[in-house]
Amino acid sequence: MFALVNRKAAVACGFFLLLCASIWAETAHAQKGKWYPEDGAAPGLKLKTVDNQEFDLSALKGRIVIVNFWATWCGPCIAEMPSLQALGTRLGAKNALVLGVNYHESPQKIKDFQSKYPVTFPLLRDPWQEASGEWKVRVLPTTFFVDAAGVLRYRVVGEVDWGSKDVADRLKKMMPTDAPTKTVVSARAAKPDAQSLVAQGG
Amino acid sequence: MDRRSFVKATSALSLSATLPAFAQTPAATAARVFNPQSGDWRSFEIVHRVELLKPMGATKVWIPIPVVEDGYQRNITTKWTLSSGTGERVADPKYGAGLLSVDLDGKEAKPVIEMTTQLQTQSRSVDLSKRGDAVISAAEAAKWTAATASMPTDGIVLQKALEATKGKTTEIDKARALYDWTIANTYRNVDTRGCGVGDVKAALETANFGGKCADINAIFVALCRAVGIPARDVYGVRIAPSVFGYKELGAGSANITRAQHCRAEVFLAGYGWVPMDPADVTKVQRLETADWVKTTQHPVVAPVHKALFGAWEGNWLAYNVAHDVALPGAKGPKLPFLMYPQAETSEGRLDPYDPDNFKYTITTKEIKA
Repeated sequence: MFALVNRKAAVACGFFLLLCASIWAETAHAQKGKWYPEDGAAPGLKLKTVDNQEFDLSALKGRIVIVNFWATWCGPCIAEMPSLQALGTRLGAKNALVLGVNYHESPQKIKDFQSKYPVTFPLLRDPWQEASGEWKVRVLPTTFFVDAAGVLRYRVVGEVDWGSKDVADRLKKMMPTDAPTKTVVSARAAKPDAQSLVAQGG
Repeated sequence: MDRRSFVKATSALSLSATLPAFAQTPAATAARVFNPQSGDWRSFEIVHRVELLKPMGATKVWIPIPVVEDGYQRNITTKWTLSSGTGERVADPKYGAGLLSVDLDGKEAKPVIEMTTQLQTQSRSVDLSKRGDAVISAAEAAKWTAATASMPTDGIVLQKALEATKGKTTEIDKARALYDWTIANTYRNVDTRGCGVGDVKAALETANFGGKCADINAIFVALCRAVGIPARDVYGVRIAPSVFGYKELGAGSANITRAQHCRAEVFLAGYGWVPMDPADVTKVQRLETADWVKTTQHPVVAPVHKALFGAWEGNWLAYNVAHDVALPGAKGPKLPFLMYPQAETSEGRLDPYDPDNFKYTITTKEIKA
């Protein structure tokens, strides 16, 4: 069983490395965002989507999640949205995905935005600014990298070219090969099925 | 929350109303004078009108009421009318910021709240060549040198403040150094939403020094506090054009819905609270002329740079000096400052910058006896 899990993990990791390589290959633009290393369990994130569906970050355990806090009035957020959308498309959702958290705007405002800027990754609403408070978001855009074990790995403040080599490198570092050591500090990893799900990551 | 019941006020002013002279300011390109002096009391009537376009369930609205009375402002009356619901005047317990707090049941399709304030303002100047005997109590000094959620006074803020004041020994020299550091290192970002957010730590850590008054003057205030000089932001709105012809330093029309502006005060021993406004210097640099002026020596900028270290023009009203404001009965988080009307429905806190959902206007008229 263990060997099977490892084989699956190896295949998944290989796929993910190829994915990162493809992102890397398209790299062109310089980074504008400022990166900060993070450690420790990611805060909870239970919000409704723009379509009023319940969404819980904890349901994504085992996957790398890029959590992007944004708003329709935020120029840098809009500027980075196409490359973030492209990244989200490439990542798919099986092993890693992009998640948008809109700061404090009405559903209609967000839908109007989507009609101009197609975004297919999940968009959550934060009408009471609770999530932005818990995640200590002070500037938009701010984006967090949460690894497969639910550990915050990076925070980046400001506009990012999400097709860049830098982003690809950071995603590579989050490969689940080192995730088991992080499960020690992860609140989510303490759950019974966390370990097997971590092995699916990447 | 320390609540005060609303006292139905009758106006102490029996005055006729005229519009401020919005079209009578001098040309922006002439040689400039900017020299506000106290003694020119003027009377104004300010109307805040809030219309909720999509109330949902239990809905609350908060409108800032001017409460600052510090020798440059006299608050005469504030009264209001509601199309439905109940309203009361309340005060922030720590800083005394005034609020009209309105509860609506969400049944009216488009409830309207109208709040009318009459007040007087005058220009303000402190002669920094004449030291007096002004002192600040230990409690007040502690209050106005304390960190706030958005204005830490340690870490990178302290580091920058110490760098900027290196070699300066007196309070006034330190304040001057921080004033000049702020102007030299920040800039007016015309794309900043509203007046900015005033997050000093984020600005310094990310080296993002672009912003508006709430950002730039918050940096200045935090730097002052970090080196032990009492300082505070004063949140308000421009209510008349500048008599000195600076279009960027006054209201552009009778509609002042987007004319919010915060200033700064620094307590200097021997002088008292001294008015300052580095953010307005950067605004003049960026916007008063066709070109972005990068120096304070430019003939348009120099008079403003000189005057705004010790003076303000009385074409602006001050709401409050509050930080980290908890709106009474609110479900949403504290506000870093209170300068805009706020509202919450059962669906969340409304965005005060989103006119599609939360419509309000603020208008001004000067009242002449």
